Amino acid sequence: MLLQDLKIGNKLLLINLIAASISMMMLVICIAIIAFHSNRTNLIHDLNAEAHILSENLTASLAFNDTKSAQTLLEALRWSPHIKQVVILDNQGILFSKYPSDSTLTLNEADTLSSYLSSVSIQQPIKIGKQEVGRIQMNATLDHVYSQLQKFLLLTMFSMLLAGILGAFMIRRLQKYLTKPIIGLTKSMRLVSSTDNYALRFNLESKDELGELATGFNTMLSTIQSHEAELDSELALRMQAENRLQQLAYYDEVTKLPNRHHFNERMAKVVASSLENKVLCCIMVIDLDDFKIVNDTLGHHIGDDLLYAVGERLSHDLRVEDILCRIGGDEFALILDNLPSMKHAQHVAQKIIRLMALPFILEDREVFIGASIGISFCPNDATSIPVLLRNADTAMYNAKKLGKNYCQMYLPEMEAKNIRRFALESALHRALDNKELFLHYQPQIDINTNQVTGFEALLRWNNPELGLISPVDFIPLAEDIGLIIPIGEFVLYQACLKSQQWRERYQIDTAMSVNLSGRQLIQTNIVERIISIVNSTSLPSHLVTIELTESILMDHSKETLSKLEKLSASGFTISIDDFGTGYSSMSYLKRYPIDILKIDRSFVSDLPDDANDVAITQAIIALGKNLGMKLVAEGVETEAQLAFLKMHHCDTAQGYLHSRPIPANEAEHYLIALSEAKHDVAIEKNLI
Amino acid sequence: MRRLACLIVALVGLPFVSIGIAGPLPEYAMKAAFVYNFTLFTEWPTLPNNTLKICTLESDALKHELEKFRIHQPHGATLLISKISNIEAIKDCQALYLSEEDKQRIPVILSLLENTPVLTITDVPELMGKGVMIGIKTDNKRIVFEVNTLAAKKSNLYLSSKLLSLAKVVY
Repeated sequence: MLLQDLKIGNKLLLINLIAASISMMMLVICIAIIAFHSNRTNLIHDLNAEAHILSENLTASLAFNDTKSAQTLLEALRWSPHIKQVVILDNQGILFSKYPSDSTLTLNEADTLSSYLSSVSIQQPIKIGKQEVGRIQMNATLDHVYSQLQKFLLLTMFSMLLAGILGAFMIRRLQKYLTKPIIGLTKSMRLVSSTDNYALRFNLESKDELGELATGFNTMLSTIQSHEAELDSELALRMQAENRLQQLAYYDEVTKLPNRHHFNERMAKVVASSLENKVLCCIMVIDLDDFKIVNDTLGHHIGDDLLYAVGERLSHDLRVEDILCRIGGDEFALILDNLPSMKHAQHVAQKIIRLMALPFILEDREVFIGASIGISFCPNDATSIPVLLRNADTAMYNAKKLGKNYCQMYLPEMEAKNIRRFALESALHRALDNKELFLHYQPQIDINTNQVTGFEALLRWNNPELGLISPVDFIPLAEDIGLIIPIGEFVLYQACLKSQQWRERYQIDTAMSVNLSGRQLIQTNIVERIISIVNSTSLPSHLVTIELTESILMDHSKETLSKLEKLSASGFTISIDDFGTGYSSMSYLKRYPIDILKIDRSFVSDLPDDANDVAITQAIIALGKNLGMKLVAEGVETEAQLAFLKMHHCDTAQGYLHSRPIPANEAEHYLIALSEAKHDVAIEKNLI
Repeated sequence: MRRLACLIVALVGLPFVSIGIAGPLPEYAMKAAFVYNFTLFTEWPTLPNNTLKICTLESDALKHELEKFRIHQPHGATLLISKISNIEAIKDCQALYLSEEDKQRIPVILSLLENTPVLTITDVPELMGKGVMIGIKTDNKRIVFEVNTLAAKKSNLYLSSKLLSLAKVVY
């Protein structure tokens, strides 16, 4: 509709004008009808009066039948504008005279609406005194009335037009009170929507519905504003969360270095550009030596601190374009782009190894670790990232095998060794169930009496496909993959069970030494597990010696101390294996309940010729004696060694000189011999 | 024939004798109607006893025709038609018809009626100049009349202007 497109002001104006016009029109019509009617009535009155006058004058003419005089009288009517026709009848109803004289006679027209609207007709008797002498009929047109009405209507129209113009002007002026606030509201709304500024408010003073509307708008705006604020803060929180996620997704929490995910992306770019520009790049996998020990013994938080420190130290000496990432537990990867030569990469690796060899100060404690590095070059070794990474990993494992703090470049022949490692790993998983694991026992001989005092249980693995596998190969593997725990418990159980069998069979108490891995000692319930396993074999705990490596004791934690104290209190003998090879200080010896020190074979092997080894061995023996410990020398292979040890009052010897590790049935011979000797002694005593 | 015409007039029952429309009337009937109609357009100073008396002297024919108007009440008065035998009695008339037969007595009558409000009417042409107020004559088969306003004025009678406007001659 037309009205819909108009502005409110024009709408109001139009509505007002239409309403006013309609009402005015009605009024005009009413007035016109009334005017018409009254004019017509007036005309009738006039006609009646004229008829009276005329009939008065006509009486004589009628009386004396003088039509000529009547005609003369009637002719005078031509001065009357509205009279159309006059007819005079005598008292017998016969036409006496008429006006105009040439008109046809029309009498008593039907009283219809059209006749009502078009003409007026009256009839009167003509009387002399009371005597009726004839009748007069007058017909008049309403032309005059109509022309009057026309004039009236024209005037009214003009007045209406004038009134309309005046009214429109007044409405325009007055409606401002209505439209101005609406226009204000509209403007403000437009401003709000164009600027998105929800802090704007409508300032409307009127108290009518528009005022309420403005208040409503303001309330709505406040609501929107507060919602927006909430939304903003929510968005900010979400942004923070996203940034955090981004950080987590691409950066390592512990070292703040890029993580493996990030590494892969960066690596892809570097490899792509390296291939395109035909320049050399390399990936270096840096694995921390002995990190596991730090983590296991000093706790995870120290481990994390150490990783962070390593990251910092590594990135400190790098070029800007070099990319350092942490790709796994204690593994870092370094991407070196745009290398001048392979030697350059080796220099970098050597520098890193030197840096890593320096001690780290963590919680006022010096911690020593090392780094093994594997390097793989692109495009020389491979062009795909997974292969490059695997090659570097392989090289790194080789470096580790060569001893620690080594750097190795990838060589294709390393693959074979690597394959063997995987084969070992999967075979080891099945070894326990397949009963491929078994124990050998190496006797420990009292140097003074030359008699067996006990055995050390040593694990052996015979795989049907791989053959006999050295513990040096599979024990670290078992530690790596966590199998050392069930295997360690198997060893403890088997050794104790065998020892108890022998004890029952030969009535001789001998000590049984069992190695306990650092991984095992971390277990919170390790003491309870050991006790329960030993108890299940009925072997008294004082006949069990728990051998620990020196590195385990690097952890000065209360947990380790309390575990060892509990074991000691339960009657177990605590022995330190490979003593003298670790980095730690001697102070722990005093703190822990240690009963036996085992002198490492590396010191024993060159006795008695090597002055250093002599000095160290003497010192260890002296130290042990002073602390009230027994001393066991490992790897005793010659009589000279034995003589030296005997001379320096070492208590026990263990080594090939007496026996290599042997199966249980062979070990029994020692017990039989011992049992016989004992028997002999008893007889001798009895004889005496 | 005359009777039949009168009967028709009576039967129509109209209070006024229409002239010349219902066919040609006998002369006296027409004259009687004229006489009667003259009284309608004449005003007397007074109408004694509220009677209007139209008198004839010799003409019985006219009297007979006038009798037919007795039912009317011109000026609201009772209409009397009377034939005068005693000449003195004409003073009591309001209108007097003078015919051919009365010609000889005109001077007497007029002198008797001097300054008396009696409307005198005649159909004798010679009498018109002698002081009779209204004279009737036939002109081209129509009855016309003449009026002597001076005589009427002398007798203190007022003749309507309408009557005068219709008169052929006015003195």
